[in-house]
Amino acid sequence: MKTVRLPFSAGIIPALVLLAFAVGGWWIAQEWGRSSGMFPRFLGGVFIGLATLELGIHAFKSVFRKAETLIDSEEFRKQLFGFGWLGLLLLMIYLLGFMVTVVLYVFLFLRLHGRFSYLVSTSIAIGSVAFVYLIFRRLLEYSLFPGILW
Amino acid sequence: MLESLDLAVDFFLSDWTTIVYLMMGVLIGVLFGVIPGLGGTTAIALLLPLTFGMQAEQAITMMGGIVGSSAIGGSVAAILLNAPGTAPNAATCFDGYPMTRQGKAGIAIGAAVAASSIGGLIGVVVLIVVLPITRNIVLMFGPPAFFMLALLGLTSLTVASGNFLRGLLAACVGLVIGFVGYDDMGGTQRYTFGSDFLWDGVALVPILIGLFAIAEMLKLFVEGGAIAKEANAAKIKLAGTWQGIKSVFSNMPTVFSGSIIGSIVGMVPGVGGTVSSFLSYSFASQFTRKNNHFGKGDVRGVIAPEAANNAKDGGSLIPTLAFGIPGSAEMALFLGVLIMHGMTPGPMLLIEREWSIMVLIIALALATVMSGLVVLAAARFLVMVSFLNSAIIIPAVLAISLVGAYALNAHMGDVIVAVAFGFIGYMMIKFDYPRITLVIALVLGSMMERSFLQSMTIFRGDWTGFFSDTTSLIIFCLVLLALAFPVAHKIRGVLTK
Repeated sequence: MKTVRLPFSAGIIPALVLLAFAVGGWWIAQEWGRSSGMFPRFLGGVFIGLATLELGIHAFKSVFRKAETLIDSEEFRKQLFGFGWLGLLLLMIYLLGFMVTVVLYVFLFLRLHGRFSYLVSTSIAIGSVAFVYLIFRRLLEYSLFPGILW
Repeated sequence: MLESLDLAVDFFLSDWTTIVYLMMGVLIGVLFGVIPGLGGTTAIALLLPLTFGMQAEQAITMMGGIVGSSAIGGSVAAILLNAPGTAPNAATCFDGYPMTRQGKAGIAIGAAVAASSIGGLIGVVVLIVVLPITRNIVLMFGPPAFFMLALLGLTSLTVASGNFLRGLLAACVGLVIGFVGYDDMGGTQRYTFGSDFLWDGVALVPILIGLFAIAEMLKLFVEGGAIAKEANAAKIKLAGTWQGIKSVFSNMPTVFSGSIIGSIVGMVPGVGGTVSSFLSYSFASQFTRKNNHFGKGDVRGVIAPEAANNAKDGGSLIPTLAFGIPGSAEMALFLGVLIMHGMTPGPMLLIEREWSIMVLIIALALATVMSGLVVLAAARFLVMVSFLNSAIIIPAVLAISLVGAYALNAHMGDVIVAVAFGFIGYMMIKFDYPRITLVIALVLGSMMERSFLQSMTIFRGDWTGFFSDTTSLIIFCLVLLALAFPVAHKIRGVLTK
């Protein structure tokens, strides 16, 4: 198992993101009037405090207890692929619309990631698009996004 | 109340499609319950968009079917695979799986089904008895009490989430997301960044789809293989289910104690099914004198948690319906269904839509019985789903989830929100941030802010007014108690060492 060693506690990353999110939210809320801004400003203060505490805990662990994080390269690669497949789905929906995407995406996923045969991949892809068509188009009568390419 | 009951019964009898929707909910609930890691919450998130075109009562019937059946489905996986379908089924593993290894899987499934059905029905009876009293209590609640109640819901859920600080941080994120949109009280656009799409706020459904359905699929993608990784499909044998059902009737005290524990614990926001089933299990194991073989395949070790697990559904609907305080992720989603169909939970719901509540109660009662029958008939086949390669499940669930997210407002923005929250949900799993507190905060946020501002107006800006209102003060004491509980638990642990 190949691993990558980070010389700090990985919890620092979400804590930093949350602190930035909290400070940004609190900063924006300063412009609002009394009624709209009172609660967000109060919450923003609490949020900044909690995020700082979380960051402090992980910083303390990293500096004084020499905490480190081991990242499994294989797992990390799988995560990137997972996000990639999700991103591809979003892009395909935007370009090709839902109906084409469902059949194409399910087929591609089964064939390329699942390594299933053409027959199994095609059958499940057709089953999925039939489900979407029957339930969403015919039964519920929704108009699904057609895609920008057509 | 009887009039409402009559109306609700007529509703079921007059339109056969209602029974079809209920059956759909039951089948999907059982199926999702069987698959470890998915459960009723994912099922509701995935099916929420399907209810848009339905009448409100039909929608709550279908969702009632899911709520009432997913726990029974979860017990199948717990008994046969030692992999609880849902977290509350974990206690069933202790004796259910040893029974499977002893070749008594059929007895365990029969006992689980019968105990769940009876427990579910007792939970429904408790709901019917307590709801009218709750209505009168709720009417005594003013804005300060509602603010404190929302605070209690958030606090107890955060404490129950296991990581207090991260639970609070997730709750803060939920509250901030809840601020997005046009604030009608102050006339300000908050966090919209000039986008028309964000004017109405971020819709709840795409967030739920992302946090639960999509995040779980990403997790499954990384883990790979089949969902049930350590069990052998060929070794699963089912026989003796009837003997299991009979064993429940010869252990009625265990069923009753479990059901009462489940109903009471279910009423407390944030405590929920897992605590109730473990509490019921430990109660049964401690107070059983005769032939105590708990942990080694005692059928009472299956009966006690399963009765509690299903009885809690009735109890957890009380704070959800009467106060709009969901006690669990499943209830938060259920609350979303109600709101989406114009049924705002709270005292007025109990007065104006009493018959709709009766529809839900009947749906829950029918679902517990129907799901029992479904499990008995199809347990062996249902469990095979867990042996499916995850590569088959992932693309279908992802695609259908995004279709559902889009169907809400026919806007691509909702699809992007669902994907973004899928990523956030996965990161929350990885870094051990509880998703439930984010959702509850999102749901409770607007009620919390509104009641806070109303209270401040009533008290003319003096926040000490919160403590001069008796109801509000009592609930504040409960908040302190909820906060003190883990601290006291830790101190006790240190002193014992």
